[in-house]
Order: sequence, then C-alpha cells, then structure tokens
Amino acid sequence: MRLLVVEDEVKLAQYLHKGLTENGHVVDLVHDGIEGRRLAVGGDYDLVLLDLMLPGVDGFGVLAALRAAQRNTPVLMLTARGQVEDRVRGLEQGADDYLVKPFAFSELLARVGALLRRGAPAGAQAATQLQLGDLELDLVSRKAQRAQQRLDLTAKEFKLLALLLRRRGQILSRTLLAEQVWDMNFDSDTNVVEVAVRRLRAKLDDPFPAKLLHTVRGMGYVLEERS
Amino acid sequence: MSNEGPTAQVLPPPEVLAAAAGPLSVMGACSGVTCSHAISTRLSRKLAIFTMVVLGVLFTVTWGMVKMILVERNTADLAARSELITDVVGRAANQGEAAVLARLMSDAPMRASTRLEVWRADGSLLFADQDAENLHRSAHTQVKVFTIETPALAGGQVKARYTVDYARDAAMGTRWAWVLIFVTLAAGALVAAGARWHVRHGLIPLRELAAQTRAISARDLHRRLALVDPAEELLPWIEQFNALMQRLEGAYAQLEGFNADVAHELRTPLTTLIGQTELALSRERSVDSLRDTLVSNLEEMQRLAGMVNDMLFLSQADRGAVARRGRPASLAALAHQVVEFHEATLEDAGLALRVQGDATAAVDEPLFKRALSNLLGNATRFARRGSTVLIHIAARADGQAQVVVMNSGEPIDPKSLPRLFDRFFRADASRCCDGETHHGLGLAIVAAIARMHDGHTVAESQGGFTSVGFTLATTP
Repeated sequence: MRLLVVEDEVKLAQYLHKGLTENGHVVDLVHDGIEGRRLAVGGDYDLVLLDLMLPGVDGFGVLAALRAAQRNTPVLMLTARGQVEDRVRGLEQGADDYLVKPFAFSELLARVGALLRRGAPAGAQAATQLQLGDLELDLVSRKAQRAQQRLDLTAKEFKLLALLLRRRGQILSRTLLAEQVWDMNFDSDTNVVEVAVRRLRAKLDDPFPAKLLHTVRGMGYVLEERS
Repeated sequence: MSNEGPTAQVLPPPEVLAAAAGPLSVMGACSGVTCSHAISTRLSRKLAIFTMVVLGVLFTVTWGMVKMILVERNTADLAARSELITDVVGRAANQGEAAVLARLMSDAPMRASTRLEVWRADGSLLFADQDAENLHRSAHTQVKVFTIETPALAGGQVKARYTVDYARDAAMGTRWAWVLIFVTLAAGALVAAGARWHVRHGLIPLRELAAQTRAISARDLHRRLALVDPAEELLPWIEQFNALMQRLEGAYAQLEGFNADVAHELRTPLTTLIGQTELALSRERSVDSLRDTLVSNLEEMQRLAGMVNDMLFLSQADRGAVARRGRPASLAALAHQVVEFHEATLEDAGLALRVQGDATAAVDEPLFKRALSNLLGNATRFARRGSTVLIHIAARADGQAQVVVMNSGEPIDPKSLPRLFDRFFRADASRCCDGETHHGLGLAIVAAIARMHDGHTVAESQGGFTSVGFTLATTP
C-alpha cells in the first residue's frame, strides 16, 4: 500500500517512515504543507497521514484542497491538540480518523490497517467461522472450541477472542481492546484489560501445550501460532 | 514581600488576577459606554438644591404671613385713626364750621404723611391736608372714606376721606424679602460646600481601600483589606473582597502545588528513563538485554503519556470545557457497561458488585463511563476482600443525579476527605501504586467530569464504609 506522510517534525516523520515501511507499506515523506498538498492532490495514495500543524499550509488546508479535488483518499489526522473542536473540525472537513499525540505506534498501525481495509472489498470479514490452528470460533452460535473441546467463555471474553482472532498476527493495544470490546473510549488507569486477558488466557491456553495468546510487553497482545 | 530576587520568576496567573483587579481599577474613569461620576459633587449639588428649596418654601410662607399681619395691622390703625377724626370733627362741629377747620388745622402735624379730605354735605371741599403730591406718588397708600354726623352743620353730616401711606412698611417687607433670598442662596452654597467636604472626607476610606487593593500583587496574595474604623456600609465589601482573595490565594497555592507535583511526578520516570538508557549504552549488551531496556522505557513513557493526557484533560476542564451531552439515558444501564468492563478485576479481588437505584440523565456517555470507571477502580483497590461494592444511583430533589460507589474497607481520615479529589493527592501513600499505571489523577478527573456536568463530588467515610461519588445536572 502507498502511504503519504505529511509531518514537519523530522524525528517523528522518520520514525513513522521506518515503522510503516517495516510493516509492508510504501511510504512517501514530506515536511511541509505546500509540498504535502501537491502530492496528496496529484499523487496516487491509498492513505494520507496528515499532521495538523504544518509550515506553509496547515493540515486543514491540505485536507480542504484534497477534498476540493474530488479525491476521497482516506485521511488520518495527527494532532497534538487534544481539543474536541479540532477533532470535530477535522472530521467535518472530511478526515476519516484522527490520532492525538502522543500515540502508540501499535495504535497508529491498527488505525491505518482499519482505514485501508475500509477501502478493500468485503470478503473475509463476512465469514462466520474463524480458525487459527486448533482454535475454532463460530460467530453465529457464539461457540468457541479448541482441540474439539468447548471453551466456556463469558460474552465479553468471546468478543475479545473474536477480535484478536480476526486481527490475528497484529498487536492490539489495551486502549484499542477497551474501546472495541467494552466500548470504553478512554485510557483507563486500571489494569482491567490485563486481568481480562489473563482470564481469557487461563481458559484458552493454560490447558493446552501450544500457546496462542501472547503478550507483547509494553505494546499489547497478539493472537498467533508460534512454533 | 518586595523581594525581587528568586521569587520574581514565579509567574502570576494573569487572567485570574486581571479578572480580580479589573472591576476595581476603573474607579473615577470613563470606560466603555458607562461614564463614572464623583459622589461628592453629585451629593453636594443635590443637598444644596434640597436646602434651597426647603428654605425658599419656608421663607416664602413666613414672608407671606408677615405681610398679611402688616396689612391687618394697617387696616386696624386706619380704622382707629378714622374713629379719632370722626370723634374730633363731630365734637368741633357743634361750634360751627370754623371750629372744625381750626381744629383740623391745629391737628395737622399729628397727621404727618397722611392726608385728610373733608367735604360738606353738598359736595364742596371743606378741608384738605397739604403735601398731597407725595402721598399720591406712593403705591402703598390705604384709603378710608367715611361720613361724620354733624347735626349742627348744614346737611347734618360731612364726608371724609382719609389716606395713610404705609410705604415704610412695604419697603421693610421688600428689604426682608431680599434678606431671605440672600439667606436661602447663601445657605445653599454653604450646604454644598459643607456636603462636598464631608462626603470627600467620608470617602477617604474608599480611597484607602483602593490604595490597599492596588498594592496587592501576585506575590503577596495573603494581604487582606482592613480599615482602622470601618464604616458599616463598607464592611460587606471588605468581607467579600477578602473572601475572594482567600479563594484566589487558595486556587493559586493549589496551582503552584500542582506545578510542583507535576514536575516531581515527571522527574521520577524521567530519571529512570535517562539512567536506564545511559546504562544500556555504557557497554556492550546482548540483544535481549537491550530489548528489556527498551520495553521498560516504553512502559515508563506510556505512563508519562498517560499522565500528560490526563493533565491536558484536566486543564481543558479548568478552562471551562463542558460535557457534550447525548440523549437522556439510564445511568444504571451505563453503570452496568462499566461493571462489565471491571468484571475481571472485581472477581480477581474477590469482590461482589451491586448496582442499586437508577436515574435518567442526558450525559456525555464516554465521560460518565470514565468517571465511574475511575471510581470503581479506586473501590477495587481499597475494598476489603470478599466484600460487596455498591454503586448507588439516585435522582435528587434538586434536579441532580447522584452516583456513589461504596466499599467497605479502611476508613479514610476525615481531614483527608475534602482533599481526596485534589490532583496527585494520596490519602495514604503506602496503600497505593503496586506497579500499576495509577498516578493520582483518577479522582481529580472524576471531579472535573462532575464539574463539566454542573455537578460536584461527594465523599464520606464512616462505620467501615467509604462512599465516593459525584452528582451531575440531569439536563444541560
């Protein structure tokens, strides 16, 4: 996927470039609004990462030019201002999502993934059966089983497992899990998600030799088969 | 106090001080649409006018009455004189016309500045006093016409006209009128000057207060206004101003304390980050060891980011951000969502949970859930193992909804209760922070969310139960 990153903070831009490239994207990098506007409007990108405070033309200006040119390239706004007004203004002007600095890279990656998937034709998403190794999930009957053994999960544990399974191989942060599974849109200062994951792991992994649910320290959790 | 040394770098909170000093500093000046005036000028003018009106009315009435009395006295005087003339003429007439004339001539000096005219019955003039000219010129004469019975004379009677000049009385009246007018004006002027002086003198305490207010700067917010002998009317102002200063000083102290706390809270993780990174770089390390350092740094930095985000949230709330309320919803239903989120930790801590009561309110749902989640996290940390945590929701009579989380456990010192919602406040430092991401802003955020919903916080600790919660206005 081709991404355009418009960010004037050189260090942050370089780290975004490195991180996104390592995750399989082709990334173009510009450091000011005027160049950003030219590339966003004229280039062919799958996603634009747009900082709000830019020299030349600010993020809103770039966004306005992009939408005025009838391009519906998804735009992810990066902003240091947490103000609600800025977010609302950004979304109203046609941004698809926003991230407030400081953000975790895993968070950014998850949002980029979600935006890119939005453009892709629905296919695998519609599946009612999910499988990973000997783990099987039936989303309709809401049953989970591993090695033919039924797993006794609560409703939220099932939802958590389904999310991890659908996004297998991706590191999902605690914030993202709290948001997606429990609809809690804030950074909780409790260890609620850790405990919930621990309890899920006790049912999912503890009775079996092969572990599927892994903790990535400092970043979150990932569901994958590791040999 | 006036030390300009190291304390000079403490910046005053400009908008707070400007707001406090603003309305007081415009005394005696024209600002915007409204123009000010001097109380002394206005009051003295009003008093002078009032004095002059009262004296004027009083003097006019008095003068009118004196004039009436004078006229009455003159009339009586004229009547008495006429009677005397009647008597004298009547008696002299018995000796004939010549005797009458002789008698009137000899009495003439007694009738100075008066004029007597006597006519026979046939209308011919019998007698007239001299100096008629003077008398006719005067505007203040009184005239009496009368008949005198004279049986001895032809026709049996004579007709007399007696004219008396009261010009002296009238002149005296006019003089007095002028004196009274002068007294009235003089009294007005005196009252004006006196009132002006007294009012100015009386307002000296106000100028004193203004000077004292001007002397209060950001560095000596502890100063209060005081007068040696304060007027009763000024006391409420002084008390209110001092109460305002008290609040301002408290807020300022809290802000300064908060800044210090922030610096302290940031310094610890920064120290760890710098030290750990330096140590990792100081010699050759294995990849695993370096990864460990990076992961540890990441966790530390996430804690910092969380703290910065929370502080940003608090500062937005401080600057008056209000909740974006949604549709009216059942608070118990929202509470159940939060409980579901905390299910695992509650079970881990061996706690049961009950949601009691309900209220309908239009709230900012994410914020409401955040506040309740913080309260629940707090209760989970401090509740006695095996006990039940209770979320009590009630609609209050004053239009507010109250949400309280109650847990059994160690009582909180009553002195600490009011400070529970302060930033970075920890009732008991030893009880908290077993490596969690908790950093002492949770309850401050609850208070901010309550404020954003026009509500306030509540806290109580007795009988082994601690209740902490907040209220919120059910409608904007």
